[in-house]
Amino acid sequence: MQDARLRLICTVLLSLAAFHSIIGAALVYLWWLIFSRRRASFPSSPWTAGIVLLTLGLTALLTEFTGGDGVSYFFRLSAVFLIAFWAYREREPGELLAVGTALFGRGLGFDVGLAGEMGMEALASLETDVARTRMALQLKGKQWGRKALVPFALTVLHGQMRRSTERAALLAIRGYRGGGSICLEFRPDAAGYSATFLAGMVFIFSFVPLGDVFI
Amino acid sequence: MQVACESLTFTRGEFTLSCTGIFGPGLHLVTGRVGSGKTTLALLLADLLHPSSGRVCLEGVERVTLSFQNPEYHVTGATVRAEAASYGADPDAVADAVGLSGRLDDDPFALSRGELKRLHLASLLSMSYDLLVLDEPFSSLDCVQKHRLCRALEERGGGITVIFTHERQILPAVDHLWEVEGGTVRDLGAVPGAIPHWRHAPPYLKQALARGLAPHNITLKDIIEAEAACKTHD
Repeated sequence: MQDARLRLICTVLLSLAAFHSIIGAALVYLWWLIFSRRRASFPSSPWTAGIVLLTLGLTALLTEFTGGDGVSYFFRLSAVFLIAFWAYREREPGELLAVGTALFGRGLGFDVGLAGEMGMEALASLETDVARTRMALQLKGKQWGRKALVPFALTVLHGQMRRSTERAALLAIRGYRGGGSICLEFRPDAAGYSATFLAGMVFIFSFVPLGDVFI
Repeated sequence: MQVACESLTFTRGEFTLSCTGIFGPGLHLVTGRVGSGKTTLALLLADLLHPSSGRVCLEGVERVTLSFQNPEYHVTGATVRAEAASYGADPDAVADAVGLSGRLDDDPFALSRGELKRLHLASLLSMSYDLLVLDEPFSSLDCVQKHRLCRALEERGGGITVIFTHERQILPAVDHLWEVEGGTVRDLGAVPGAIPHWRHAPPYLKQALARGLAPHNITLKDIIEAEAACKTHD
């Protein structure tokens, strides 16, 4: 899906649908099978998906043993994260800025878009930082473990802070004081419209019982 | 001793990098535009990335290391002394060589990017490696430090050194040239024969070639010598 606006609408609708009901989550899985790039829609690092699944699993177990519906929680939240991973992998640099400005204008919209863009860039660079720092540890013959955790965390933290400082300086140099303009360019396509229409249907079916819709 | 890339390919999304060739002992220079796949090839050579197909065959190569463009990735010591020692290097000798003798007890992150890069490269170069892969070793260094690094690389005895860079002004004398373009790694051959085929040659070298000079290597000194030889010949 090339149009960032349609992708944002799909992400919001599908996340709400998956979180709201089991039926919604099941339909979201089905939607994902049709419109995602399957394996290419997962995080590039298997560790990220693993940590998310582990956290969800532990929380679900805890919920199940304390009287809640842990299985339902796991099923629904997994669908939410599946859509989050898909949205993250589909994004292209600069499109959050465009969407923010298109939705909320050159003032607040630009600022919200810029904040989102910087957050996404930080996430992407964090992925690289973690991978490279692990490689560097390996090159020094150091084992990945408890002892390596402190230097590892310091390196990653330092990298993020340095990047934030550089970005802030760059914005200041360019005279940024709030708001701004951007040449908007979206590329809507038939597949994008179909995916959004079906995401809308999934959203409706997750809130309204199927019988009520078709009778 | 050699590193052989046998029908090597690496694919990520729509990007594919392919390489076939042999990196023998000596100094190799790999150039290409930003995002052309230089770092990917560096990681593949150092066995830090698994190829999609083909293989990297290390023959007679036991000790391998790689230097990332960002020296921060390598930091594991709480002090400059501990950091140099973490490579197995002599901290006093390394600190003395890079002008950080008075800062041995400082936090490595308190150093400037350039100082940290110097410390990292000096620590690496003080050790002996069969395969030394350097990804953008000249970044963050000033002209003086770039010249120092060039000398250190030229004086490195034995082993295979592969430099990945888009540095266009200060380069060491090398043995072999490679180019990464359009996802393909091209073996241009040994220097000086490879020089006329080098598309990413720095401007001073391109101008020299356009003037009909035939330098023995790729450094500015080689151009000056070729020019002097040309004048003497005239």
